[in-house]
Amino acid sequence: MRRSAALFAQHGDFMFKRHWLIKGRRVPQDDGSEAYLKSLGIEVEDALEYVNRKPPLPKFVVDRGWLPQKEVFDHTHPLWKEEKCHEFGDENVLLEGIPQAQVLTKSIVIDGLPPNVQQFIKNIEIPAKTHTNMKKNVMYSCMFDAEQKKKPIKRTLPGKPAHYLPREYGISERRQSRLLISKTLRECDKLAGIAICSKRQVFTDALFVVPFKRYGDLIQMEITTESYLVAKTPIAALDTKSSTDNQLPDLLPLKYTISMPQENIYLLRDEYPIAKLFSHYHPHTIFLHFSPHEVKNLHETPVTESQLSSRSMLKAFAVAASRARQDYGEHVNDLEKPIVVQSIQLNGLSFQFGVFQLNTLNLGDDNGIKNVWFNGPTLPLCSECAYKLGRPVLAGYNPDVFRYIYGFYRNEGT
Amino acid sequence: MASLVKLFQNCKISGLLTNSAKCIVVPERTIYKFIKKPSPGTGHAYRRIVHYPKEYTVKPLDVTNLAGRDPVTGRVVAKGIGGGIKHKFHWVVFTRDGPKEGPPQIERVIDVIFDGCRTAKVALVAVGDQLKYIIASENMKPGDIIKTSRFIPRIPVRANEGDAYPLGALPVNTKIHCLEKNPGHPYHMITAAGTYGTITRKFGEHVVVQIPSKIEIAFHQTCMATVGRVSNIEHGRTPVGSATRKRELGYRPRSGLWQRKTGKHGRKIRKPPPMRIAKPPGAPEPKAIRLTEPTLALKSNY
Repeated sequence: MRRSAALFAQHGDFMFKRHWLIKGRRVPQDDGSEAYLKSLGIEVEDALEYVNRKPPLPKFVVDRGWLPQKEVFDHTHPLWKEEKCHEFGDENVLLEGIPQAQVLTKSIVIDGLPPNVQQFIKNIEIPAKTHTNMKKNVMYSCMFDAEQKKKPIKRTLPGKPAHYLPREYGISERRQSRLLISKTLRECDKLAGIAICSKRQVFTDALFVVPFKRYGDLIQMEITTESYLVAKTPIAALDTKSSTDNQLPDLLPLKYTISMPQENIYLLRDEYPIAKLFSHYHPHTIFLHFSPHEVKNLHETPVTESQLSSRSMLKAFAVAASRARQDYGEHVNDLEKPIVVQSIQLNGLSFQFGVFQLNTLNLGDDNGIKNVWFNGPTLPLCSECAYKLGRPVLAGYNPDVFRYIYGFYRNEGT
Repeated sequence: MASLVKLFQNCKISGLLTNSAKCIVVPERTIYKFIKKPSPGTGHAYRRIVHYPKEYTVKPLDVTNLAGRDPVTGRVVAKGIGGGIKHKFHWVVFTRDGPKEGPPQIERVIDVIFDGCRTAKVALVAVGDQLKYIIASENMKPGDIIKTSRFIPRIPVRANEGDAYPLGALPVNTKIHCLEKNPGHPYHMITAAGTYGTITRKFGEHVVVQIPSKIEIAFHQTCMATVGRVSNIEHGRTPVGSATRKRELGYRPRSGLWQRKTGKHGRKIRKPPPMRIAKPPGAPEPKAIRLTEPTLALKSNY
C-alpha cells in the first residue's frame, strides 16, 4: 500500500492547493471602474493580454514557384456564379421518381412500349442456337470471367447484426454489366447480318452534357452511358401531337427540383460524344448500368422501381436533348423532326426497357407539345446464376429478354 | 488563512510587468495533477459525438462512439456504456416552423425510417425543395400530408396526427409530443418512443400539459407541439431479451447486484407535485477567471 496519501492527508501544502483549486476560480464583479475610465477617455486593456502580447512577426511568404496552388471551393473560385445550378449526374436519383421526371422534362408517360415496337418484337423469331449462346454469355459474365475484386456487400447473418461475414471476392457489378452488354450486342450483330450491322456502331462510356432552363431554374445534366449504340439513320418518330392536351402531374407541396444538388461552382457546356461529320451519329439505344451501391438516395434508403425508371428516362432525355442542341443549336424549341432514343437499363440480371421521344425543348412553361416516355417492361434475364455445390448453375433463363434487346437493335421505327 | 494573506502581501505587480517571462521551474514529480472530470447528467452525452456538417443535410451522419468517456480528459464519466452496433445519426429538426398568419404550411411524409441512435422512428419530410427529418408519430406513414402553423385562432383547430400547432391553438385533451419548452428556445420535450403529453387546461397565456411522468407543467401558449403520440409504441413493452442484445445496444456487462437505494425497482407512491410554470431559459453563466498558482499543473479545462 502506498502510504504517501495517508501521510500527506493533513499536509498544509496539499490542503492549501486543494483550497486554491476551489477559491482560485473567481467571477470578477463589475465595480464600474472600467466605465469610469472610458468616460475619461482612457483606454482599458486586459492586463494579462497586455503582458503576454507579442510584436507582430513579419509574414514569411514561401515562393511556391511552379507548384500549383490548392483549389479553394468558395466564392473566390473562378467558376463561382451567383445563380445556383441544379445538377443531375450518374449517381443521382429523383426523390419522386417518374412524376418528378415528367415535370422536369415536360413529358407524358405511356405504359408499355410503342405499338409498332411491340408488334415488331412479337414477330421476331430467335433461333435456339442464339439462346444457347446467350446462356453461355450470361454464365461467362457472372461466373467465368477472371476478374476478382472485393465485393461491396457487407452481409450479416439474420438476427445477428453484430456478426460480420468476411467480404467476398468476385466479378464486379460494372464488369458484369459491361460483359453482358458487349456479348449480347455481338449476338445481335451475328443474327442481324451485315445489312443491319453495318448501320450500327457502339461507343462505351459516352459523355453527354446538356444545360437547360425549366420554369427559369438552371439545370445541367451530365451523364454517361455504359454503351451507346448509334445508327446511320434515325429512328422514325411517332405521331404524338395528342400529348399537347395532357396535363403534367401535380407535385405539391414538393418542388420539381427536390433532391437535385445545387451548386454555385459549375461550367455550363454542351457535350455530345460524336461529331456531326461522322456518318453514324444518330442516337439509337443507350445501355445503362445500375448498381445500388453506386446510385443512392441521399438519405440512404433503397432506390424504388419508379426512381429506377425515372433515371432511365432522364438519361434518355439528356442524350436526345444534347443531340438536338448539336443539330439545331442552343435556342431550339419545338423540334421539326423529333428524336427517338431507346433505353435499356441493367440492374444486375434484370433489364428495364423504355423509349423516349423528344418533341420539344421549350421547357419554360407547360403549354404546347410535350415529350413522351414509353415505360417498357422490366424483365429478369434468369432467376439464378451462381455456383452451387461447386458447379455453375443457370436457372430460369428468360428468352424474352434477348427478344426485346434484338427488337430494339433492329428497330428503325417503321 | 494566514498563509493566504502572506502570499498576497508578497505579490508585486511591478515585478510581473518587468519580468513577465520568468517562471518557476518545479520538478515534475512534485506537481499535483488535478483533472476536472465532468459528472454525467449535466446535459452532455458521453455515448457518441456526431460530426455535424456546416449545413443541414438528410445524409446520415458519421459518429464517434465515446464509451462513456469525456472527450476532453479521456476519463470514464458514465459507466456501463461501450461497444454495440454502430449506427449512423439522422439529424432531426425539432423546430417546426410555420406561417404566423394565413393557411398552414403543408408538408409530405416521404418515408418513416428506423434510427439506431434514438428509440423513436424518424420521418423524412419534404416541402418545396427541402428535405428534413422529424420525429415520427404513432401512425405516420409515407404519403401523409402534415400541416404546420404558428397562428392561434379563437376557436381551437381540429388537428390531425403529425400536425404542429402552438399549444394555444389545440383543444383540451389533445395528445401531443415534441413540445417546445420555451418559445424560440431549441429544447423539446416528449421525444422518446411511445410517449405523449396531454393538454389538461388553459389559463391566461399559459397551457397546462401533463407530461409522461404525470407531472403538470404550464407552458406559454405560443410553444409549438406536434399532435399525436411518438412512434414505436412497442418499445416500452419489448424486453431486451438477452445479454447479447444488451451488448448490441451498447451497454457493457454489469453485476446483477440488487441495490436498495437506487429506486430502480419502483418508487414510493406519493402525491404528484403541484403544477408549475415552465422555467424560462437561464442567462449564461458569467465567465470565471482561474487564478494561477505555479506549483499546480492544471489541465486547461479545470
